[in-house]
Amino acid sequence: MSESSLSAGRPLGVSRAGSGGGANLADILERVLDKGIVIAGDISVNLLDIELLTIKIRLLVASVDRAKEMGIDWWEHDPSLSSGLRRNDLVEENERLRAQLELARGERAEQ
Amino acid sequence: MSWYCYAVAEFAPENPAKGVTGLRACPVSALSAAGLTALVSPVPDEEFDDTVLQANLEHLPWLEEIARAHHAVVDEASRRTGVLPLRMATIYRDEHRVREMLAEHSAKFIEALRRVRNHAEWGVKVFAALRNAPEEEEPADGRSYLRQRIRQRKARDAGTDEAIGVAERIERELRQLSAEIHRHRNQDPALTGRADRNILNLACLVPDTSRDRFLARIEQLRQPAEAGIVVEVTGPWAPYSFAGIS
Repeated sequence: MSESSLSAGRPLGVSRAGSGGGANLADILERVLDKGIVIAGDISVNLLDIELLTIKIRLLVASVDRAKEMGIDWWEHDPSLSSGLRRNDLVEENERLRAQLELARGERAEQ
Repeated sequence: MSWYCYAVAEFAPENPAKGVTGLRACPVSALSAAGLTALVSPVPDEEFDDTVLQANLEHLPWLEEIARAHHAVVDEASRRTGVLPLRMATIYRDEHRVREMLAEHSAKFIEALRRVRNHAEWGVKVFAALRNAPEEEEPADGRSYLRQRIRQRKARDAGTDEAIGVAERIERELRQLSAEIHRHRNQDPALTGRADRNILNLACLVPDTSRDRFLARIEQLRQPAEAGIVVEVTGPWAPYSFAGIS
């Protein structure tokens, strides 16, 4: 993506690093994935698991933004992220992430 | 080849996205029907057909790329005219189907466009530092450990209550300068990568005529900085959070 595509949602006096003077990915995804008009297209995708997808994105975004701040693009070369996981892998990964999430929620509730 | 649909705008005789580049370097074009104009660009089926799209959506670097491209088109169009952003990955088989979609929802689109006309969305996030419990001696036994834990939790909750009070006051103030307000979910620390906690994540639909007052008010709310409270503003955004036509 070119820098020009990052020019939107310009933060004002925002201290957040790594946004390159533009909107950060979390803010963009929050809107393009979660908001906007939902109407049925001809190509239907299953967005039922959008909550899980969001969690996965959250985990990725956190690492991607941090990596970018450091000028690292490991995620583009990591086969588990960039070569397209097979369905079975995804199911397994989803289960693992759900378990992690439950654990995190439990820990937070305990605190 | 199918048509990826970014946004719906009021009917414009000229393409309101003229010169804008969409996904896969294709120019964004305008398709009009029923007093409305849809902003679209062609996308290859091998990348956007049902099964492929579903898999691609779970391929996170792909998702990021498409999200940013989608946003870039919506953002540029929203600077030129009033638009309703569509949810990412709304795709039609051909031009005829895009026009059918416009006609089918025309009344609701027109009403929503009227609502957001001459307004912009502004994001306001409030972060609060978590108050650290005072240093205490190592507990001598299990019972004093538990007492210490309870004391620490109470101290931290008090800090959070105070911060939430500040956040509520900010929300009340901003509500007066906004046409509508939507609360987004607070962003997870894993997502923000920050040590402080996001305690308020607002989208405010602000009339362009109130924009300066709105931003000035936020500056005032920042001063004097309350202990551990950070207020961040982003925008102007296209009215993503207020485009709902339900």
